[in-house]
Order: sequence, then C-alpha cells, then structure tokens
Amino acid sequence: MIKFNPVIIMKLIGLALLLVVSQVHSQTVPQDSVYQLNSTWLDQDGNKLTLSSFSGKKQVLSLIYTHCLHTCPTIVSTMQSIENKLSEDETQNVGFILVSLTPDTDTPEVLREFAQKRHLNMENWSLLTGSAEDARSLAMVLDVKYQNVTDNEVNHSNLMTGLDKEGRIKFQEIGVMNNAAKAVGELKSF
Amino acid sequence: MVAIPGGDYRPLYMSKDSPQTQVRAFNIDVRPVTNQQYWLFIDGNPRWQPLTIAQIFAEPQYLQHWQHEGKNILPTDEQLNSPVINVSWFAAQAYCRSLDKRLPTVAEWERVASASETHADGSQEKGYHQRILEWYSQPSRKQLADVGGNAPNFWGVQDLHGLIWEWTEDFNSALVSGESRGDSNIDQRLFCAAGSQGAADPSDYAAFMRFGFRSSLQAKFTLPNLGFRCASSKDQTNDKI
Repeated sequence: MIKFNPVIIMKLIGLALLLVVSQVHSQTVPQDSVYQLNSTWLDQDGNKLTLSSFSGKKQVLSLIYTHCLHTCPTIVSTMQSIENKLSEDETQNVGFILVSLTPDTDTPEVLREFAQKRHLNMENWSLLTGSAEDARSLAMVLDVKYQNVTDNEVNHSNLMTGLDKEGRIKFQEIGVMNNAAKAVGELKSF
Repeated sequence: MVAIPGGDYRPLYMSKDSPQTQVRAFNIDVRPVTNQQYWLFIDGNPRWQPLTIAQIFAEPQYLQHWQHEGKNILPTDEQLNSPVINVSWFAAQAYCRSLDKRLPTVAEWERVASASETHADGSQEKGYHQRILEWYSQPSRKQLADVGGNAPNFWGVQDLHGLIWEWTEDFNSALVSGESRGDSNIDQRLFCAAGSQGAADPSDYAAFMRFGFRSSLQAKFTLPNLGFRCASSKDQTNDKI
C-alpha cells in the first residue's frame, strides 16, 4: 500500500495554490500595468503588500526619500494640493503613494513619522519601502531616472505618475505646485 | 565569475579634479550570457518566455532572433553559444536574480572595461581607444560570434568590447547627477563636444559613445546588439541602490 506523506501532500497543495494565484495574477493585471511587478513592499504600518493591492482606485505615485530636503517636499506638497482640489466623491477614488528610494534608512517607522510630520491623511496615502532592487525596477517601469550620490542622498527626476484603476500609466507630471490643477484635470479624464 | 578588487573610478563626464567614485570589490561574469543559458532560464521561468512576457517588461522584438519550432521559440544551434540579445533590462535583471546575482553598475562595468589585455588602465596603452572605436564603427553582424572569442583583458574578463553592448543596473542615471559643481551642468553633457572639454579623459570617445548610448535606452528596449552579463557584490549585504 502506498503511504502518503502529509508533508509532501501539504507542499503539493501549496504549490498548486501558488500556480493558481500566479495564473490569476497574470490574467487580471493588464499587460501594460505597473502592477505586473510582483515585488513585495512594507507600508508605514509594517504591512506586507504587493503593488497590485492598489488596484481598484486611481493612484498618484512618486518616488521620494524622507530626508530629502529639496524636490521631495515639493512633490509631497503638490500631491497634497491635488488631494485638496478633488471633490469628496473623487477623493474616494484616488489614492496617493510615496515609494522610498532609500529603503535602507526609510523603515516603516521613519515613513510613519514622515507621514505625521507632513500631516498626510492616511485614509488616502500609503508610504512604501522595499528592496533597493525593487525600487529601481519600479523607477525603470516609470522611467524615473535616479542615481545615488554621497551621504545617502539621491538625485532623481521629480515625477508624479498617475495610474488608472488597473495600474496603467495615464500621465506623468513634474511634481511642482503649478502642475497640481493640471494633474487634477488629468485624473478626471480617465 | 572573476573577483575584481575595489578601486577608484572617475565617471567620464567628471573633470580631472573632481573626486573619484569608489567602486567596492565585486565579482563579474567572464563572458556575456549566451542564448543557451538564457533559454535554460526561461524554460524554468514561464513569466519571461516570449509568448507570455508582459508588454510593460519588453518590446515586441524580445528574443526575435530565435526560431519558432512548433509551439516553442528557441535559439538555433548556431546561436547557442553566441550572446543573448533582444532582451530588456527587466529580463536581464530577472536572469541575474535567478542566480542570486545582479547586473553590474555602470561604474563596475566601466572599471572592468577600461582595462586592456595588459594594463588595468588600458588608456595607457597605445592604440587601445582606437581598437574599440574601430569596432563601434562596424555595423552589427546578423549572426553574432560565439562568446569568448576576444582575448581576456587584464582582469581575465572577455568580450567587453568587440561583440555586443551590455545592460548595466543603473544605465539611465548618467544625466541626473546634478551635483553643484561646474562640471555637471546637464546641458553640457547633453551635447556632444561641450562636455568633453572638462572631462577626465577627452580622448576616450568610446566611453562617451557608451554613456550616450546608455542614456538613450529605456528599460523595456530590446535591441539586436544589446545583451548583458551578471555581477555580484563581494559582501551581498551591503548592496546600495
């Protein structure tokens, strides 16, 4: 009689589930979606998540690092200004994501502090940190150019990217104040 | 892979008196990745097969030099040992990751590639730049030669010049180093001749061409003369962006 090893059976079930999940993932996420990246991230509360968990809402996304003194505060302020310009109904359909370019120092705690200091409305905002490699892959998908320079500083293009509900890139704007109204218009156009 | 000791590297667009970039010790593949090696990789990673790869990760020309055989797309026998081309940055990165490696950074690649057969700094050797430029001036061949055809350089690494162009991890970062020094004016670096005035080695036209080529790329591009090799950090844990 053949004896079934329960450990092997559990492993097989796990493998089968994994196959199903990955199949579903590649079927539901559009081919041209940023959410095709299957990297995992930590948010400001330490929750593990994938980018595809942001589907269902439009998103405005920027790559930043929290100790950045120059362009990043401007990007964040611009995104907040977009948030304020949206009607209550529209706000329900738009999320705001900040992804760290210096994941070594931007731990979930640092991100949480940053969010508090900047008075981000955590109903709408998510701050993510992951591996350096995954941050670069995301930057590549968004065509954001950046380079590490000395003392943990990063030069990067200060782009905001607008994603539709399935993670497709709909617009990209430089993150400066006078682009906020324009971005609001674009968010309403899809 | 061979071990390359740490050392200094001066990005080409920096002037002679600007500080050098420190390159930590690292390991790098002796030869570019071949079609056969890449075929083995996608065989076990369906996500990266030509018929299933998501369009955000590669242009439609992905692996277009391979042949259709029934339901499969594979390299021909003649292609097995020639370098894989028509691969995007995402695909190259995924390949290296599958082996616990990564793509070399621009600084790492340039540090290894600046060696001639006999000197760590090839520019000291007469005719070194000229030979590289002669290759750059030839059109790409339809059937690329096998890897390993070029003599090993000072570090024992082959085919850095003379076969294909190669992806680097941070290929698109050359234009953004907006350091507050006179030598890093972006406009200067965007136009051919202006930047060379203050550059570390104005005679190294070949490196100018590489920097120009890299900054024209996007991560999903697949080109018939662009392949890659992998690298790894000496201490994998201290791997900065």
